[in-house]
Amino acid sequence: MAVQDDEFLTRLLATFREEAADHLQAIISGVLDLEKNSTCTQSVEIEPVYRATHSLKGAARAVGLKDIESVCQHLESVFSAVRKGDFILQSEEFDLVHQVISTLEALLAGDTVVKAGPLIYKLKQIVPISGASQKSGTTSIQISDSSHHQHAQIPKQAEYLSQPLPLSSAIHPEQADVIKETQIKHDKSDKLCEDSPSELRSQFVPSLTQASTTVRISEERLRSLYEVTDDLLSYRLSSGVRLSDLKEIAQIIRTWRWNMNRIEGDVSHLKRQILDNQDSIERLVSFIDVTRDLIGSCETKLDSTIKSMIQDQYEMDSVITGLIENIREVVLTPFSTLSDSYPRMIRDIAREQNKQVNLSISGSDIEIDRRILEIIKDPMIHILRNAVDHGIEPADLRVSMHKPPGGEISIEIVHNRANQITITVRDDGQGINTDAASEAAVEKGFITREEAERMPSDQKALLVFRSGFSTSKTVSTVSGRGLGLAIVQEKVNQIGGSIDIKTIPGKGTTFSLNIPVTLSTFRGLLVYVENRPFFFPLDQVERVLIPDADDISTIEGRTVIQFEGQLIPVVMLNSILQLPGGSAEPEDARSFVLINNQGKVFGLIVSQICGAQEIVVRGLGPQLKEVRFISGVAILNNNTVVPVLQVDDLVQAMQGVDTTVGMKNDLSSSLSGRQKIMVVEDSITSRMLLKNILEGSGYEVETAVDGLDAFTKLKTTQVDLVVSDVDMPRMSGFVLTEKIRSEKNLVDLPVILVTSLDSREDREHGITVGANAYIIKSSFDQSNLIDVIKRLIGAGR
Amino acid sequence: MTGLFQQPECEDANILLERARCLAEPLGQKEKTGEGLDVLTFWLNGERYCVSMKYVREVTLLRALTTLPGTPDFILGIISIRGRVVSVTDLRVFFNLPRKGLSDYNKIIVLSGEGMEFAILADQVDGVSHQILSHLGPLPETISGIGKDFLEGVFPGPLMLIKTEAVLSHPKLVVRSAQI
Repeated sequence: MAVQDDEFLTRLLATFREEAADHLQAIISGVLDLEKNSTCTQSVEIEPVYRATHSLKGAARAVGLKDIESVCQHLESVFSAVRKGDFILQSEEFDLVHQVISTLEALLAGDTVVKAGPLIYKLKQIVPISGASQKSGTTSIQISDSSHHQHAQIPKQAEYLSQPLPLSSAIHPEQADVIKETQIKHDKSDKLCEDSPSELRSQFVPSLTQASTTVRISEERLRSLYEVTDDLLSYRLSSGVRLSDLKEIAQIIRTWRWNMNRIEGDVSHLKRQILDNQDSIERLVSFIDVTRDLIGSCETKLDSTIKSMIQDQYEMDSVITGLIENIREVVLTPFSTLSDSYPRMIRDIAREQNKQVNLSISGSDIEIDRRILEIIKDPMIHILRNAVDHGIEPADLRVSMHKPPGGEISIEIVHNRANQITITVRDDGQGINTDAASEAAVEKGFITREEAERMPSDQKALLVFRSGFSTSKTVSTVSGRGLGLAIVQEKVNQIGGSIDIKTIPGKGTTFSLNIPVTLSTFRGLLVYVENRPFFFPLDQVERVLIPDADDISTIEGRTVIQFEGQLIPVVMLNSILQLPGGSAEPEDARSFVLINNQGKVFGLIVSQICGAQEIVVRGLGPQLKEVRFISGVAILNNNTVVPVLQVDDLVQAMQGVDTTVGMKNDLSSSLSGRQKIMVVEDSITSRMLLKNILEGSGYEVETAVDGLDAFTKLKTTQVDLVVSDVDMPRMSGFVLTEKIRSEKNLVDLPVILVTSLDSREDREHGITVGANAYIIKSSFDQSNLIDVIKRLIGAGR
Repeated sequence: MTGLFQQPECEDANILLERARCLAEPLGQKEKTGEGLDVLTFWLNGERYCVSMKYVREVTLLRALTTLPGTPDFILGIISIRGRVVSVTDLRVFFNLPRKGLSDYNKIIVLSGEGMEFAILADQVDGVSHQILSHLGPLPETISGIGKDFLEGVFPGPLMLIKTEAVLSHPKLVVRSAQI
């Protein structure tokens, strides 16, 4: 029993922390409102703060946290005096209240070092009459503010539920229900407050009229739920692939049936011939009959399976889509979960620097995927800190510039398109000194002086996003280390968003963040380079095109294309990514992807463009924290992992690459027609290794997974040499060599067998079937292989 | 109880007793030899290595691998295991083992722990065995270089025990190539 009580208390404490955090938030935003507004309405506006304090006190008492309870009690006495109109809070008292709140936060976090004593003493000094006599009855609560009118009917219930439980030590499980009820909080109750004029909504609205409609779910559970949904999405896609596999099998059987029908006459002819009772022919014929019937019944079964699977597929599709939609909506959280902490943060920073700042937030009820909120949390804090630290001037300087002494920072959240919101952070401070910015960039070596001189001023502002950049001469506690905005941009890009900055010297700075509402609706453009798939983030793709040869020219040694009257620099994507080789694509099949990076257009040449599709972008796992050029991966339906390109890195690399070299080499090599080698190997690592070695030596490589695959491909593809493993499923290297030798137009094709079979018999077998060379894997050596190939067909280039 | 033993002939009873003694012995021995460790044994470059089962999440076949440009050599690429993205490390490269020969096998072992998760490539996986920790001998003096930091010791066999927690938490195995 004792153990159960312990467990119960632990759970209770966890519940209390959540509840307390809400109450504390209500107190904080309420106090900030009070501070901002005129003193004459204090007695009315204190109401929600007072009640939140009271509830917090009660909740603390219920779980036996004496420190918190007694701090709250004294705070409550102060608020009570204000509410009665006996007392008005001035800036000194506000500071004290903020101190008390910090102490409460520390106590809640389990900090045992914090001493509440001195603060309680100070609180007592403000209002000498002890507030302990304050009854928790509802009669004294007066509601005169019209915006709170709708809650007038329910204070009784509210009081009842926030009433401290009478027991602090021996709590019986039956009472757990009562406590659980108090955790049930209604989200929509926030909405009731929206029509109140204040931008900062108080979270404390004791509306319990629809209490049971919302439950709390831990972040962790929600996340795992979401991950499962993502998995479900890939299974939905892969089941589609399985279906088409089945259809393919059905097609194969149909081909068989066609062939079977052709020999049907021969079979019956044979049957008639069996007059002299030849047992063997009879057995053969009856076997053919049995086989035909067997395959026939398989075919029927397969067809009906496919039919029902198509049906299932349709139904599963709609169920899964519905489920995913629903879960996507579940994880939507109002922006206010982030922004509720801003007013206090801004106030603290402003205090620290002796600045006056007014913060206004609008649209914080707009709902966003909580994973996105998680990602933009730090960037938002950074931008706001920057605004106070670098943007807003000290009051005396502002007055001398004919500005109001208090700076204004506004945050505006607007729903843009179906899946995009724009967050605008505007300050009326001194703005970014673009000349200083470009000067600093020149000093750091990001750009040359000439580039800086030619740069328009709005481009200069974007320099602040470079890593290691800071115009601030000194490093303060809040900013100046110059890493911040680079990280901001990176994080925003990571979720497929974009960031823009506009600044007017002396008037202020505006940051606009365009971010998607949900993560899963990322759209990517699938391209192939060197037979490898990659995704471009679609919103950064300006357009794709296949230009005429006349449009391509070089300027100052760099390749450019002419597009809509503009000269756009272009680079081969594979030379930026440093992918080995360069397959011989015919020149006219080169496709150009034009990407837009902060208003500048760049062109990238890829082998093939496969169209846009919706993808789920995932991280690269814990080991790959940051990989150049790659921002994440998407898993396609057939379980292949496709990297998603990071456009910023590409652009950065493009500016450093001597673009013509890669172009010329690739063009010349593709024109001269390189030697093509087919690598047949069932082990993926060996296949890749061989491919890399051969491509590194300038050969073009085609791969096959086994003998049968190779033989099929050889019929359609012209190759100059075959390098094959021996031990493979379906068709071994020996059989493949035999087949090649028996095919009329392949008879002279050189074959090198690479194998782990190292007996004299195997070697002889290899030579007998017609292999030109036999290399043992255990003694495998790159140069050895290349030498043999050179001897057989000559060098790659 | 005694009825059961009285039924068979005396010889049978003796045989049964003897068998019972045989079966009972290993238990006694185990207690004497001290603590053991469940390990997963695999082959790398013709040598036998093992990792503690504590860190082994699963063993699977390498099927579709996606190579990533811009990653160091020891990163072979990334794969998806039931929808989860896992990076694959080639320990041969990281341990500076000579990369001779081509391997026919492509098993991967997913290691997880210390807040990290990645897969390592193995030529062949033998299976799980129980090793007695007191049998673990020191490394030969001739072993040097990066491999030494990641090897705990050698079981008779020889079977090298990898310091999995050191591998998992080593900063050099974490890729941050985007940093300038």
